[in-house]
Order: sequence, then C-alpha cells, then structure tokens
Amino acid sequence: MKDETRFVDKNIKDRHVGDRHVGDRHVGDRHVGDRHVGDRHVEDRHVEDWNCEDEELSDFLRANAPDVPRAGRNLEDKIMRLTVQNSWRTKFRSIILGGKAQLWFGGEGFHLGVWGAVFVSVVVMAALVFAFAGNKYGEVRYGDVSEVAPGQVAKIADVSGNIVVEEEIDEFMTETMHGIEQKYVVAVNDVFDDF
Amino acid sequence: MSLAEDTVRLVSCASKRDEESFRALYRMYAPKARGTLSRMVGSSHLDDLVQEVFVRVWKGLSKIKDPQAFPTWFYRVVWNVAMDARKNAAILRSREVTETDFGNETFETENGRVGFDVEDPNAMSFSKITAKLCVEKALAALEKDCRDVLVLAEFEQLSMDEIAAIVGVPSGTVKSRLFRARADVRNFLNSKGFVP
Repeated sequence: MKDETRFVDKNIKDRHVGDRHVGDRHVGDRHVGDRHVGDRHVEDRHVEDWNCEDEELSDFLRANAPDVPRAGRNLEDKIMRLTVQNSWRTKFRSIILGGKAQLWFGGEGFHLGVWGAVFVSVVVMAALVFAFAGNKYGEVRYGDVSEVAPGQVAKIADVSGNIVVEEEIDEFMTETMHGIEQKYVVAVNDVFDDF
Repeated sequence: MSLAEDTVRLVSCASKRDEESFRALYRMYAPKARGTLSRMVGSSHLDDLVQEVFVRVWKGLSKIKDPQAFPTWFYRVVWNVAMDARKNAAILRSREVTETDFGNETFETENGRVGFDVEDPNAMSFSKITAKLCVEKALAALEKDCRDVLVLAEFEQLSMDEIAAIVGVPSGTVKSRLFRARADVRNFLNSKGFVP
C-alpha cells in the first residue's frame, strides 16, 4: 500500500519554522548583523567624517598653493579680439540690432527690432532678386499652355532674355504647344525648337 | 558695491555684448580660471585653455537667465575645459613632476626648471619652495575626481553644493571625494616631513 502521509510529512518538515532554511535569515544572524548600527562598516561611512573640516590642512594648502604662471603677453587683447571685437554678431548688432542701433528717417529716431531688421533684409533681398530676374527675363511671358489659342502673339526668348521670336501663332503651333506637358511655357530656344 | 553685485551687473551688460563689461569680467575671473586650470591639468597650454574658457563664456553669456548663477556656471565652463584638456595626453604628461630632489637648491619638472637664488633677499625661502612643490606633487598624485573637488574646495573656496553643481555629482559624492582627497594629501605631506 502506498504511504502518501510520509511524503507530505517530509515536505512540511523541510519548511518548518526554525529549520535551517528559515534560521539562516533570522534577526541576529551573521548576515543581518553585518549591517547592524555600530558595526565597523557603518562607522567607516559615518556622515560626520565627511563633513569635518581640516582647517590646518586647508591653511597649509592655501599658504603653499602652487604658483600659477603669468598670462602671456597681450592675452587679454587676443581674447577680446576673438570674442567681442571679432564677433560678426556684435558688429551686426552694433549696426542694426543693438540698443544703440537706430535708423534715422526724417530726423525721427526709429528703433528697428530684430524682426524688423529681418523683414527689411528679406524685402531688400527679394527686390534684388526680382530686379535681377526682371532684367533677364523681363520681356518674357510665362503663360499657361492650355490657354494658348490661335491669334495670340507668342514671345519666345533665349536664355539671355532676348526675344528671338515674336509672332502670331497659328493652329498648328497651338496644337503643338498644347501637347507640351509642362504647365507653363518656358520661353527659351529649347521650347521653340520643340515646335 | 559688493563683488556679487558687481558680477551681476557686468554679466547683464556683457550678455548684451557690451565690450567694456566683458573686459571687466575677464579681468575679474581670468585669475580664477588660471589658478583652477593650472591645478587641475597643469600649466602647459594654460593661456590656450583660459582663452578657450572665455570664448565659451562669450558664446554662452546670452543664454544665462540668472546672472547671479554666473560664478557657478563659470566654474562649470572651466571644469569642462579641463575635462577636454585631459583628453590630450600631452597635457596630462606635463603635469607629472619628475626628478624632484629636495636635497638640492633647484628642482626640475617637465614644465621647466624651478629654482631660487640664495643671494636674492626677495627670493622665497627654501622651505617655502619645497612646500609648494610638495603640494603640487600631492595634487598630481590624487585621482582626477578627487583633485578637482579639492581644488574647487580649498583653493577656490566653493561650497559643497556649488561644487556638486559644477562637477555634476550629488553633494554626498563631493563630500566623500573631498574627504578622501584630504586624507591622501595629508598622508603625502606627512610622508615628506610636513605636518600641517
């Protein structure tokens, strides 16, 4: 007959309070005791030790601090040149953005802020670009190909902006231009050659 | 006007790119940067390192929101420059003092020859020079982390919290490093016959 009772008993015994396994972690055991207040480990790391000042040592160190070599000749001027005086931002600010920067219109002081300066710069740049583009392609018409119709006058220029063809377009040219997949006619010789 | 107020005023003006304020700030803080850098990484290339510090200060000035925090921020910049300099092996080697003979009247380091003239009444005493060299050697012998903390605490006389903010470690770590550094320096000095 199978003795199941013995099997159960053995398991319970192994885990009984007071057994070896439980006892290993009992308060007062070696493991716990290692971290007990008053032990060597705790004393070694006592907070007051870290905070204590060593005034004698401090005085000695300060009195006998290693000498610091003197600065090289003109180091100050060199650093100033590298930073303040040579800074493009400083120059920019001193001209336009800084506290003293003012643009004078009709005798009235007008302080131009950062965004004002940016706006003016953008407008000026855009004007220059358009002026340049206008000079180059000023006479060129960029039109929607789909709107090209017989009877209209087509102006076709070369890359320099010189009008090389200016004539009324007929049915054949209209159909050709409608066949071009580009949305806009770029009025250069290449386009003309495609006709 | 106190030093702190003066610093705040100069930082405020210099952050607006005022040249004279930045120059005054340089004159006020350059000696601190020189002293700290020379004790952390040695005297070689010191001018270059100071220059690097002030170039970084110039670039970062406009980002400072609270001018009162400038001193701590400044030392943080100095410490960062020192960290970068340490990556250069040549600078590290130059820090090492070699062949120091305390029995002679002259001492030689890799930085150059240090000596004194016994006929010169203005010259430092023998014991003073020896003590300075000893302190320099003691600093050089420390671990870098401990040395930085000791330099900032003893020579720049910064508080634990300030050093913690500069070095980027907890205040407790600063205390333990300082404790260790002081113990090592004291042991070194004692071994050379100095009893501070």
